[in-house]
Amino acid sequence: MSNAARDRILGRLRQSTPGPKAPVSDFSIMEERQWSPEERTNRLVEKMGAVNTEIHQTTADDWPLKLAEVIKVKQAKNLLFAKTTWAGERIASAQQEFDFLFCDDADVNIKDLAFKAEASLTTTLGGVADAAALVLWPTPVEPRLVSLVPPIHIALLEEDKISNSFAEVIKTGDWSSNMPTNALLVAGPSKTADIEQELTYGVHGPKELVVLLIKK
Amino acid sequence: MAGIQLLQREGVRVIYPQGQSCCGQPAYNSGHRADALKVARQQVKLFKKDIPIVLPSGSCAGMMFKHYSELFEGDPLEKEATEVANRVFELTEFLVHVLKVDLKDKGEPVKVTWHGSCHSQREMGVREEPKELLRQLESVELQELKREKECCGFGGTFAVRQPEVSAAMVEDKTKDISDTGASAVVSGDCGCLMNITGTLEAKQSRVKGQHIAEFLLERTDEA
Amino acid sequence: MKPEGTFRQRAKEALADKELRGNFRRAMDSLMVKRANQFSDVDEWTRLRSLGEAVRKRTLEKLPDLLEKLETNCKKNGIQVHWAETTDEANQIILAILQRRGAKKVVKGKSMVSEEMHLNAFLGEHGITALEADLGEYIVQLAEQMPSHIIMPAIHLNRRQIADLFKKKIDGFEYTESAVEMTAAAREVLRREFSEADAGLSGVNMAVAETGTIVLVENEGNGRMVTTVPPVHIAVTGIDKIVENLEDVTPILSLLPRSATGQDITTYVNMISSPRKEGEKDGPEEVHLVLLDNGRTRIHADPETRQTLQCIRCGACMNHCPVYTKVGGHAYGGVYPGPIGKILTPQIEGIEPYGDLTSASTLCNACVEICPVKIPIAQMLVRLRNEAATGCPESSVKEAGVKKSTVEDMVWKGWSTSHSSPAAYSMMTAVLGMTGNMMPKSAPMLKEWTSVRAKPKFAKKSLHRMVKKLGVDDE
Ligand code: SF4
Repeated sequence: MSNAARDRILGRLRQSTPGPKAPVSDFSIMEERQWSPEERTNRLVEKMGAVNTEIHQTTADDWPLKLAEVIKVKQAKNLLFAKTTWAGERIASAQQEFDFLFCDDADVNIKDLAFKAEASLTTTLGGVADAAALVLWPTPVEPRLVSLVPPIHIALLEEDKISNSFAEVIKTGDWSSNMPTNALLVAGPSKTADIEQELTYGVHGPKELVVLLIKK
Repeated sequence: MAGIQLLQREGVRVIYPQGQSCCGQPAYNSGHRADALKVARQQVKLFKKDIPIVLPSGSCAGMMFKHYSELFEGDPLEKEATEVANRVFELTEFLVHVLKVDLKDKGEPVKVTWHGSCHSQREMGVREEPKELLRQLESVELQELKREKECCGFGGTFAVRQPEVSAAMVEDKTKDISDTGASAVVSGDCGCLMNITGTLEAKQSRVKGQHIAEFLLERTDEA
Repeated sequence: MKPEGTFRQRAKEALADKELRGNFRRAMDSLMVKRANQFSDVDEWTRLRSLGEAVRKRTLEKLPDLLEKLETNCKKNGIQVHWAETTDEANQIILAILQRRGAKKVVKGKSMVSEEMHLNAFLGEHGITALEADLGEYIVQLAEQMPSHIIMPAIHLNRRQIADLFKKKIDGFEYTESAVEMTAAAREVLRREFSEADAGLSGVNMAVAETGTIVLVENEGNGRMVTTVPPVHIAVTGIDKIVENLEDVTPILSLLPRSATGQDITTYVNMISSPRKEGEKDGPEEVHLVLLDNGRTRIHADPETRQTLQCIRCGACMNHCPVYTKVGGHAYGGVYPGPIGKILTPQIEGIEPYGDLTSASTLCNACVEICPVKIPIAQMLVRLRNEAATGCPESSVKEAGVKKSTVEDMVWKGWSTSHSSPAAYSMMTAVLGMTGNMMPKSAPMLKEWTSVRAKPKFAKKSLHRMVKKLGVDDE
C-alpha cells in the first residue's frame, strides 16, 4: 500500500502546473544583526529573564557555590546530573546537603530517576542572543529526560558561547552534516496560556529554569 | 458631488464621463468574473484620456488599482486596463499628495472620529491621508477608534449573505464609534457609511455619519 | 465529513452566546496587540516576511524532490517513513504500528493533521486510548469538543467553564478557578500518562529534507514528553510542511511564534533526527514519520491554489479576522477555522460541504496584511467563489461548480447588462430613484439589511443627473 501511495503522490506532484519562479531567498535579515559579546549577554539575560528564567551571573570558580545556594533556597532534596562531564566532576567530589542522582551510571533506569528527581543540572552547547535561548544537545551521558522531567532545571551557560543567532550556530557548528538524535533550543521554563490566556509556568516540563551564567 | 466641488475649488478641471457605472467589484468578489469583466470593459473604454482618475470611494479605487490587471489578463483591453489602473487615485490621497491642499476651517468646534475602509487602507495604502486632512481643520478634534483597522461588516453582498455576522461586526464598530464620544463619524467609503449610518440610525444614536468629501467641503466652504 | 448545518446557521448560534463572544473578543484583542509589538520595525517585518514567503514558495516548487530527499535522509537516520493518500490510509498505518507493538495507550502532542484524520475516534474504535497532552487540547478532549483555534484550542472556554469541566472529569479535583491550580491538576494527571504510555504521537512544524529532521515548536513541554518518554514516536504531517534545509528553518522559527502569540521564540524548539542510538539511555526505539496527502496534491496542482500550502499554521489570520473574532472557531464546522480554514477546508473536503465558508468574508484583507508568508487569502476566496459559482470542468478544485445557481447567474447577468450600457444604467437609476424608497422593509435583501439597520435611502436624482446639471464636462 505504502509504496503505491508514495508513487502516486509524487507522480501527481510532478504533474502540477508550474507557476512563476519562487522569489530569491535573501537571508541577510537573519545574519546582519551582530552584537558585541557584552550586548549578546545583556540581550540574552534580559529576554530570557522576561519569560521567567532565573539567571545568576557567576564565575568558573564560584558556580558550584552558587549551585548549592540555589538548591538550598529551592529546598530540593536531590540533584540529577552526570558525574563525568567537566561540570559533574567539579561537584560530585564535594560533600553537599542534597542527594546525588547520577544519570550517567552504567545501568541506570533514566526514566525512573528523572521522574524521582527534584532538580537537575546540565551543561549546554551555548546560547543565542537574538531570540534568547539555550542550545542543548543531549548525549548518552546527559540524556534527554534530564532537562525535561525534573521540576527544576539548572543549566550552565558559558558566556563566551553565546552566539548572535540560531542561524549563526547552525553555520559555525556545521549542523547540517552532523545532526544529533535530539537538539533543543530552550528559552525558559515550561509554560501555557491555554486557560483564558493567563500565563502559567510549569505545565509539563520544568516549572523553573535556572541559568548559571559563567562569566570569563 | 462634494468631491467634484472640492476639486473644482482647488482649480482642477473635472471631467465626469456620463457613460460610467460601476467598476465591476460586486460581481468580481462574488465569483462572477465574466459579468465583472463585461462591466469593467465599459469603464476602461470611457477613461482613455491620459489624466488622473480620482475616486471618492476607496473600495472602487482598490478594485481598479489592484484587481484590473488580474481581471483583464488575456483580454484585448489588457493594456488599456493597466494604464487606467495606474492613473487611479483615491480622493484624499489626491488632495494630500497631488494637490497638497491647505484647508482653512470655518466651522464650529466639533469632535469627530474616522473610519478607514478596508480597501482604501489595504488596497490603496491610504491610511494617514484622510486623518491628515481632518487634522488640518483647526476646530475639529479627531478622536481615533480603538480598532480603526477592523472591518465594519459591510462587504457588499456579504451583508445579505451573512446578515447575522455582518450585524455583529457593525455592532462592534458602532460601539467603538460611540465610545469615542464623537458627534460624527467620517469615512471615505460609501458602502461603509451606508452600513454604519444605517445602524446608528436604527439605534437612534446621536452620532452622524458623513463622507469625508462632504465634511471637508462643508467645513471649508465660504458660504 | 459533512458539517452540521450551514456556516450561517452555526454562526448565528455562536453569536447568540454572549459569553463566547466576550471570550473571543478579549483574547483576540490582546493577541493582536502582542503581535503588533513584535513587528514594529517595518523594514525588518517586510524583509523577514519576504524571506518566509520565498522559503515556502521554493519548497512548494521543489516539493516532490524534497519529499524524496526527506525520505532518503530520514531512512538513513533510522526514521521510518510512510506515505498515505487519504486520512483513512494514514489511520491504518498508525494502527498497524501500534498493534505490532501491542500498544493500548497513546499520548499525543498537538497535531492539527491528526484532527483532520479524526485519529482519536478511529483508535478508540480499535480499543486504543489516545490522550491529548497539550493543555488546551486536553481540555477540549475532556469537553468532547473540537479545537476552536489552531494555536489555542480551548480559547472559547473561560475559567469557570474549565473548572466545572475538571470537577466533573478529574477524580479528586477540588473546585478552583485559579489557572495555576487547574494547570497543576492537569500536570499531575498527564505526568502519570506520559510515563505509562506505549507510544507518543506528535504533529510536525517543519520537516527538514536536507537532514531528515522533524522540528517541533511548543511552550508546554508536552511535545518533548511524547517524543522522548514512550518507546515509540509517530509524527504525522501533511506533505506540505517541508523545508529544504536547516537554514530555511530560521526565518520560520522567527515568524511563527511572533505572529502567533507575540513571543520571540517558543519555550522549546525540539529537533528530532533519529530514534535512540546505540548507547543512548532514553528516547524512543522507533520513530515513524507519516506523510499525508489528503487533497494536498490537488491543491498543489494549480499555481494559484498552491499558495494555500505556504501556510505555517501560525493562526494570526484568525486573531485578526473580524468574522472569526465574532463567531469563534466552531462556526467554521471544520478542523481549520478562520481565514486559512475558509480556503483550506473547501479545498480539502470539497466545495459541496464547505463552499459556503467562502462567503463568510468581507474581503477586508486584514489576514492578507499580517500573514507571515503572504498568502493572498482574499484573492483565493474570490477564486473559490468563482469555482463554486461557475466551475470550469478542468478545474483542479474539488467539486468545482457545485454551487452553480441559475437564479444567481441571471441576477448577475442582468446586473452586468444594465451596468455596461449607459442607457440601461440611466433608466435603472431613474426607476430606483422613484421607487426605491417605496420598497417595504421585507423585500428580499432589504429584509436582511434592515435587521439591525435603518432602510437605505435611494437618491431622488442620480449622481449622473446632478453632475450634468452642475455643468461638469462629460468628455
Ligand atoms: S494563512 Fe498565514 S496567517 Fe493564517 S495560519 Fe497560515 S501562515 Fe498564519
